[in-house]
Amino acid sequence: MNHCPLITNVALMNNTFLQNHLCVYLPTYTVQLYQAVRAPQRTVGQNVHSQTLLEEAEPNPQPHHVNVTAWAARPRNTCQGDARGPRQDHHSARPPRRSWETRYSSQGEPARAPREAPPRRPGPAPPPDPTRQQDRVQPGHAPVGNGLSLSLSVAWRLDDCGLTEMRCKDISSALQANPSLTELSLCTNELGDAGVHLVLQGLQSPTCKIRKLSLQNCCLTKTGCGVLPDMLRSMPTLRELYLNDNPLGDAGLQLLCSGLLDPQCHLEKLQVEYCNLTAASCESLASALRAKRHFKELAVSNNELGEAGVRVLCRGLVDSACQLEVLKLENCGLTSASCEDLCGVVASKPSLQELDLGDNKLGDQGIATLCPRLLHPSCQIRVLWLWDCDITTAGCRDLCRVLRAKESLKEMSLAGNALGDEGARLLCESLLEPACQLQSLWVKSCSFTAASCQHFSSMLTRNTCLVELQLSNNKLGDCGVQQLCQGLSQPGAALQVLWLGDCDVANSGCASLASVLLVNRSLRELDLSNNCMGEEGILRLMESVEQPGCVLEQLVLYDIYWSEEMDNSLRALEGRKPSLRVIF
Amino acid sequence: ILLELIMLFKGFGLGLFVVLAAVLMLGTFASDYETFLKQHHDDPKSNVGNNYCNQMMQRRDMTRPRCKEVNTFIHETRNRIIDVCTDGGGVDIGNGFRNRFRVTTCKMIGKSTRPPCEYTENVSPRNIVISCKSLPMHYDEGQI
Repeated sequence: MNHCPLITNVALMNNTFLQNHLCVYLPTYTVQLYQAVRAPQRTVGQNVHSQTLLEEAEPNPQPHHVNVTAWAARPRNTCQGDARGPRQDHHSARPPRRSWETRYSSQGEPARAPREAPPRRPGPAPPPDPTRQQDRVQPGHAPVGNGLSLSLSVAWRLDDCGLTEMRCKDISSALQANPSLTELSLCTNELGDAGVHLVLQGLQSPTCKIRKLSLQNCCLTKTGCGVLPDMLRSMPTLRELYLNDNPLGDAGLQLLCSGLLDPQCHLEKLQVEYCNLTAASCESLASALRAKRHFKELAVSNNELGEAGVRVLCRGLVDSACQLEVLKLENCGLTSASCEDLCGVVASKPSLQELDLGDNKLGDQGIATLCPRLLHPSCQIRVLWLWDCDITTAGCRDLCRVLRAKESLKEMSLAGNALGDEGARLLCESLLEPACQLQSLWVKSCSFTAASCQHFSSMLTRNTCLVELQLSNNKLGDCGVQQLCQGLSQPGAALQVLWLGDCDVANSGCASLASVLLVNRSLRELDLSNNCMGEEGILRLMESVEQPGCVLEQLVLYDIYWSEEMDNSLRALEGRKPSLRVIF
Repeated sequence: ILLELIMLFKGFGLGLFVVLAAVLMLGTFASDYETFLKQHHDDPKSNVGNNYCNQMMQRRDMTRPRCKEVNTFIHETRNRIIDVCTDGGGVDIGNGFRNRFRVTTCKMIGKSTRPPCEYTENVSPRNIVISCKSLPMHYDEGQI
């Protein structure tokens, strides 16, 4: 008997065929998918006997991570409850149609469409019929006897696979058969309260080593949360729990928190974004945090906590002995007054590395309150997200003081704040300070014009730390782009990723970029989506990127008008230069 | 060669028969048309939970390796969209509301460029602008 490839990670996201073939048969499919990656002409969905596959499999000591994606129209019933999110969609009640294509990729590589489209299936797949033998599930009959090491599976990602409550019993059995599993993700499957309960039961055995569990968007309601306290108590290895996009409500969260309070629960990371929480949840969270010394990450974004709720939450964090590393409070109704409370958190948590406060009306006043605390030597902030925070040039000035002095600061987003060209000047000045070690700067939609480009240009010539710069949706125009190009064509330029989407770039701007790409040796990714260049501009770019000396790896060109011939030319270009990927 | 920017439109009418014939002639345009459908067609509107855009952009593969910034999904039948191409232009400004398309426009929110990508949704019905070569090829996101 051959050795099987060691498949340690399984990611079968967005896969409709899983509806008919379950997790119990997962080992078969992991091998089948492995074969598919190695031999793309094999069509996924065939019922291939597992023994045959094993005989075909080549020995390979390297762990193999397989991703399979598909897009399909699938039926779905409305979830009970209404988790908060962007405006509700009003779907029609027409019967669903199914059509799908499958694309394969392996880990790390971008997913690519096969050169020839796979043959279309001749009609919708029949739904599983429990009376048919081949559709009937055999729980507990995992084919362990074929030499495939189930126990080597450590991560299962089954996001958006059309799994429902019906499948959860078998998922549960499969989980029990795989005690070495440390990571399970079932995002965007309509499991419902009962389904979630079954899945959690599968993780209750004493040998279970589950560490990371994601049940985002699984239709878990406050009723379903009733089982959480008992469940959490018997999952002592669990460290990360992601429950975003479930309509838990304050009542559900309270139940969750009572489970967190248990000394047997050693959770370190919790995400409950878009869970219909209000200020009432903050006291429950605060209590739980006070009891958890090892807590590291809390994400509560997109819940209407309000100023009062945030105050309670911050007090809980300050009281807690935990060494918090990540705090996400985006779109939670924070105000400038909330920044006082946040100062308390920053002061008491020198461990804090990431602070996400986007989409809150902090204003220049709030920033002015927060910056002195961020400047404190004990603060080692690494990631700061302040997008859409009503910050203007004045707030930018305060933030630049942090930028100039905080070596720990590596990523900053100020997108959606009207900083203006003066703000750009201040930022660029700060980026040239020796203590500034920023690697990524996102300044999309910051009301920059062509006038800001001279500052960016001289900064890019001399700055050696900044790797990624997003300037999308600023009216830079061809003049601005030309100035940027002057900076990028200097030998010292170190920027690797540049976003110029929706920047009013036309043909002459493309020509400037084309010239730069012939000499620049640092730029790896360039985004020019949503710009107004014509085919002439695209052709100039293509001429440059095609050169062997051009090191560009990714060119993003979404939503630009061109002819079908251009489509073909771009695809041909990818063929001639495999190191380059053109995305449109 | 390319029927550019055809504004939208009337009812089905006699165009339907022409449309049916056009649909059968997928031919060499298949991959662009399929890309158009993948990126812009969702009918009936998929129920993916409450964050439609966040899920759909991921499902239709517009979030890897980077998030696509703007994208509109059209919740009408394929035929109705194809009609835009075969109508040959002209705008009927008579019956405003009936001419509108049901769409969801997903716009990436501020933060950063990395997945997981998050979007806002705009569902106001509106005229759509697409470019065609007998079949829809490109959607003009600028018409928001």
